[in-house]
Amino acid sequence: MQPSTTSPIPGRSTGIGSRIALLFLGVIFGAQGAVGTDPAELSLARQWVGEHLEADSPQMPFSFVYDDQLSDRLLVDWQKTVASRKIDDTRTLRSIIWKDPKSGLEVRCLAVCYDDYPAVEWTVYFKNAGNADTLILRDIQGLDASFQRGEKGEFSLTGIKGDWNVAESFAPYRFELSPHDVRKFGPPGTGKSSDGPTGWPYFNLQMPAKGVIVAVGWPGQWASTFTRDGSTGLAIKAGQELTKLYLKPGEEIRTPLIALMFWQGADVVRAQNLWRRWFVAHNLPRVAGQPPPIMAHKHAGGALKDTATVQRMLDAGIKLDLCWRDAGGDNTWFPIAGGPYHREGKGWWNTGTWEIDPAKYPDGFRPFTNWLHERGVGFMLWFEPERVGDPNSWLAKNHPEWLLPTNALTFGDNPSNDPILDQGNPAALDWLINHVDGMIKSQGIDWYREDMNGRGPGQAWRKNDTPDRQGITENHYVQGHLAFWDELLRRNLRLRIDSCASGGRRNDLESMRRAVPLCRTDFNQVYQDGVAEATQGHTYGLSSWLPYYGLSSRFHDEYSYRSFYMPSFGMIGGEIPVLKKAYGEWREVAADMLGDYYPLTPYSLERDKWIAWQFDRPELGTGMVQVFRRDQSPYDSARLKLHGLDALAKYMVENIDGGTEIRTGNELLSDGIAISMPAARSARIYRYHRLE
Amino acid sequence: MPTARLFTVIVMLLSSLSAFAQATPGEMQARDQWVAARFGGGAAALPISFTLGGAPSATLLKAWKLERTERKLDENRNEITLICTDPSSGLRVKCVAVQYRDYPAIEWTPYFKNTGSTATPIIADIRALDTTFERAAPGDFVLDHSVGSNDSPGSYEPRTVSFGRKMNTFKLAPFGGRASNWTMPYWKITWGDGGAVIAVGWPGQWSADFNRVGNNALRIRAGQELTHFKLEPGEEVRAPLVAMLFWQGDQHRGHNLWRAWMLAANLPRVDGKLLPTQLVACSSHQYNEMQDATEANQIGMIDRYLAEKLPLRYWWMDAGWYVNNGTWKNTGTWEVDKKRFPKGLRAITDHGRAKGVKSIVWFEPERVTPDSWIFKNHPEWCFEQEKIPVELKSPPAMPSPPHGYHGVGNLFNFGDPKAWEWMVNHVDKIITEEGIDLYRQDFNLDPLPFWRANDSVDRQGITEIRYVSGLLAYWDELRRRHPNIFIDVCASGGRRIDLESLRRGYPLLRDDTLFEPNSQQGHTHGISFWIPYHGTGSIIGQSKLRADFNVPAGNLPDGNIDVNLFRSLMAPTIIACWDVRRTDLDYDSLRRLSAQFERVAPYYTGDYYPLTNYSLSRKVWMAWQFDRPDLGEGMVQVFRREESPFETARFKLYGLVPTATYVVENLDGGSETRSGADLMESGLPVAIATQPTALVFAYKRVK
Repeated sequence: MQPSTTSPIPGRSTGIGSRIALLFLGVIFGAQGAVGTDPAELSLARQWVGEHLEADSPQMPFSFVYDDQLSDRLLVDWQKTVASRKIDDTRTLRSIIWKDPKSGLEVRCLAVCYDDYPAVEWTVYFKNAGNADTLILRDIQGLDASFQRGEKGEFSLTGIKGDWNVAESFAPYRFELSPHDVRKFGPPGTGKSSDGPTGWPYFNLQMPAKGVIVAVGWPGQWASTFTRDGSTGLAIKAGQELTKLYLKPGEEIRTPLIALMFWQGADVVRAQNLWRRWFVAHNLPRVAGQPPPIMAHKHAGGALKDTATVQRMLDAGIKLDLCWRDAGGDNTWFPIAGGPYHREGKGWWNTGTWEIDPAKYPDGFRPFTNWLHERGVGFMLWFEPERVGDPNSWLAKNHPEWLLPTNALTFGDNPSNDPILDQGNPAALDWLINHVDGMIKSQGIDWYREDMNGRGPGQAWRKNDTPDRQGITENHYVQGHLAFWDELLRRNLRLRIDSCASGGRRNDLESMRRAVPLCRTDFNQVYQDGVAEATQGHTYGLSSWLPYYGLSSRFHDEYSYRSFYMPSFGMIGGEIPVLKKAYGEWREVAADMLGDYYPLTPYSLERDKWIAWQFDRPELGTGMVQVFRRDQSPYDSARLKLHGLDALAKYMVENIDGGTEIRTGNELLSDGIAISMPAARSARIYRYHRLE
Repeated sequence: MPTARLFTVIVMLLSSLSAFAQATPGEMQARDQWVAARFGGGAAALPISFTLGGAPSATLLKAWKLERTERKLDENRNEITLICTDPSSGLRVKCVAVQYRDYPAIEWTPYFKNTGSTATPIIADIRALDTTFERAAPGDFVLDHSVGSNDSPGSYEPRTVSFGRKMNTFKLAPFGGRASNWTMPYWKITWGDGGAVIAVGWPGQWSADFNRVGNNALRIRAGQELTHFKLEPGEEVRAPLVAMLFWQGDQHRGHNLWRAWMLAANLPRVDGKLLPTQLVACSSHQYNEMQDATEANQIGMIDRYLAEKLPLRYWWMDAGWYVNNGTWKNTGTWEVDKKRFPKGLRAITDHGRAKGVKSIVWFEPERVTPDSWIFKNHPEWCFEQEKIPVELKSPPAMPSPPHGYHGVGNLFNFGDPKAWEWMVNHVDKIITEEGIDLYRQDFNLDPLPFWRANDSVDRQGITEIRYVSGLLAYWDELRRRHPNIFIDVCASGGRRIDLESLRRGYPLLRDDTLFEPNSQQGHTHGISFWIPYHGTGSIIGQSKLRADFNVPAGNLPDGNIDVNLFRSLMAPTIIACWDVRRTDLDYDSLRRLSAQFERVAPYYTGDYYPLTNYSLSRKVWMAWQFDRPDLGEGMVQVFRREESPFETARFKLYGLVPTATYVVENLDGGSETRSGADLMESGLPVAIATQPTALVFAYKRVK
């Protein structure tokens, strides 16, 4: 039996989620919200829900093939049970259960409909409630739905690329979908859910006068296909990439979480802001009802002696929120001496013993974390529980039966070939939960940072499937992985999780309901080319989809470190005066980055361009604008029109390098801010607030 | 005006000297070394390849004896002829190369002749170019190429391929048998601190493959896309012309040396002179091409241009002057429609000539529509559309034909000697009788399906070779009989502007997407890397041809002179399509802009420096510089597009003498004196407050 603790109900969202979200975005009474939910959008969503989930014979938005028969034909004859209940003020859970009278296969669709946003989501569960193995269940699509565009206009699809440690990560794309066009997406076989050029699991499908945002929540190997017919229709399929399996008695599997958000009009930027608001209201993980605050972080070793560098920053007046103990190159916090990886800087690849190295930390992290906590600073510790790189590690020695071999299992050759701890194995999962939970409690860990390197678990999953159970290893693994995080959060009410997988490669919606990405990409190294411009591009693309993310700057010039300002920010190295300036000005503007997002220039990585954006919190009347003039740009002045402001109000606009002016909202919206940047490779930041 | 004209004439005379980018000893040496290795060794060293009876030339040629002769063609050129013959089949392979003394250029054309008494085995996969460049310096090979003309804003868009471990193979080919349809046959290869510009001259279906070999080499193969044939005894065929120019220096050097060589050694001349930069005019957009044209309205238009003192050089009579059953699209009866032109076109051309205005007349000899004279009287001279098998008609990659006129009709076979002779004689006669000064040839048909449909299995590629050879000979013969005419090579815009075509004609209408400012800026930006002379249209008033051309609907300046639009489509030749019948136009502005154009247009043939990257975005600026180091003059054009948020910019200029002093004049008013060093290091500051706006700065060295 597999754990089935996965909740269909969004993480810790509460009945007051929306209100808290607005506070997060900065609600004050009387303020005008630039991005509000349109009643027409709510009815559009309701109509869709009515047709696809509520009608007597609904066009179910998922599909599967069972015993070679399509689900829409099968389900008609199966016994159906429907139930609805209010979860809280804004959400209704609808459950539809079908049962095959012959084989005992039970199909359970659990959908959540939102009253405050034009959104709906669902997950479909398949359980063998009979006494014998089921027949073959295959081609399970969590989403299988069609849309019509009307006679005029055409479908188009926007989104961003996933992360693969390059400048082009998170680059926006837009495709027009003409008759018979087919577009396919998915990670490159790694099982990391936001990996690679086609791996971003969120889409905005547009058609004349409306659109729908689609999210696939599956920290595994998903696939989606957008197929235009020859006429005015388009079909979307999305699900776990490979399913062709039978279920054993009592066994249960699930589809990815599918979320849809409907919007109207042609303003894609507004649609993305509606998405950001829904994301904050109902998805960002919460502690004590609060989404993650902006955070200044700093890397630290974790021993008591390491308090000195922290103290130096605190003494300089730099407010820190989090100390971050990372993998550490050859200076790991866990024992690696017996491991096979000896290349300089690669000692951390020797994973598998998740114990604190007593030689470095005789008293563990407690002395350090106590010291931090006394000063109001949290502690985050890096783990990589899945990949087992050291054949002499505790896991490899004591529980080889918990490890999934990869296609080319060769310890010490390449992290991509290392075996993977099977989180679908109940015993392994149980150990993992207890072990990590124990460390969290004993060491005073505030943030559990989880990484996942090498080629990911994808190849291990496939290798460990039998021909009649294809996809089963992955499905149980993914359920176990989510259950692991859920249980850590259940047992540690103040715990937060950082989702990392060689940077930002596992940031699907299910993951993002439990964690935030504090290292949104690995493309921030000093040996990489164009990191500042790439980082600008990453913020530009990613902000349409995720309101919260973080990264550390290893660069100490103003143009570069300003490129790294984001909700969670830190610097590695650097002199105190530079750190004081950077952390200080970051804190002045970072909270605004959780508001609505408006790109002010086109996306580009080219060195002859400017790139600029605005983050706006209309409820507070505050916001910030970042402008970068790159090194080869011939332009030395521009006028950028702002968005989302109250046309009738007056705003104080401050260049944080000096200078203020009072402008009306109307002027800022229609004439814009005049920006002069005589020096190439320079960065400007403006903040503004509404004058009462 | 007389002063301005005199100035222009002087500039034009100087331009014919082509004293722009000069070769350096290092560049000449690089070329010489390559030529010595490839044309100075054995037959196997030749930069060509093919198979004979399935055996690769790399193996065969080792055993063939090579004869090499060299002769001086003129002061600047030596011809090297290399001949090798297969002792068993009698196949003779001849490579005729021309080496330049004033440019680091080499060109060659391979010929294949059956000197035996029986048919040869199958000759296949002929690559007129097959060579491998090796690099010693770090940094991988980079290929710069361009989209061809495809009747879109994106025609001539520059593209770059950076070869590397993951990018190791790349292919290029045009679409449908017209040499620059969708893909340009000009490439710049960069490695280390220099490289080579390569062009394939073949007004047909070529293809090119670029393959990275190991870590340090790039193999380039190019030629006619499909060759697989036997040759009958005595039969000879040719392969494409290949030209290669070696350069060393920065990113601009290769293109500018190439442009200089194009002007000096390739573009056709009359009396030793290139076609001057110029303003010409037609009434196509007022009189529905030439369908509604008459002798009276054509003469009336010429007179109106002159009455308004607009600097008209040629009067352009486009499609529809011939007998055509009501639409210009019906071609194949090449007789002047005497109903509309009872005295022929001669009355119009004589009228213009008397007033200093020469004539351009449109032809489309290759497309033959039903009911035309050729269609009815000489069907044997044509390849029939109906006989093309479906699989040849619509290859999967076929872009849909953009216009109704495109692709209708049979193909006149220029490879048929009788057809060829008739066409030469007939067009020769019309040119003479009608007093035509510039022969404009259009081609609105993709010939490849016709060619392929008429090849037998063991003669694949032969129909195309015969056609291409005939077409080039046709142009050569017209020029021989009329040494004073220029030719305009058009093919639904610039879809056939390979090197062989541009040795005979100019691309006066570089693309059929017209009149919209940003697209025209993009066309100039892109085409200028390769072709120093080109033309496009300019409109004032409404157009009757919206259905046929990508004329922007509704937003044409109706009577007002749009300075941004005018300057966006300035090119070496402007084809004015202005509705000068109207007397309410702002002729003062038009005269001022035309005079400014005449003043700066000769700079277009100078060195080209893009000052911004290529973009069609409405949110950017575009800018470029054309520099005439031989004159110490040049110009900078700057465009702020309609949604650009940028209000000021600073452009660093190129090619100036650092120690010299220049006066830079904004043609809208104001000038400043700056040193060359200052302009190159600090740059030219440009402020543009409104969108969209186009500025022109002309500069001149004063000491």
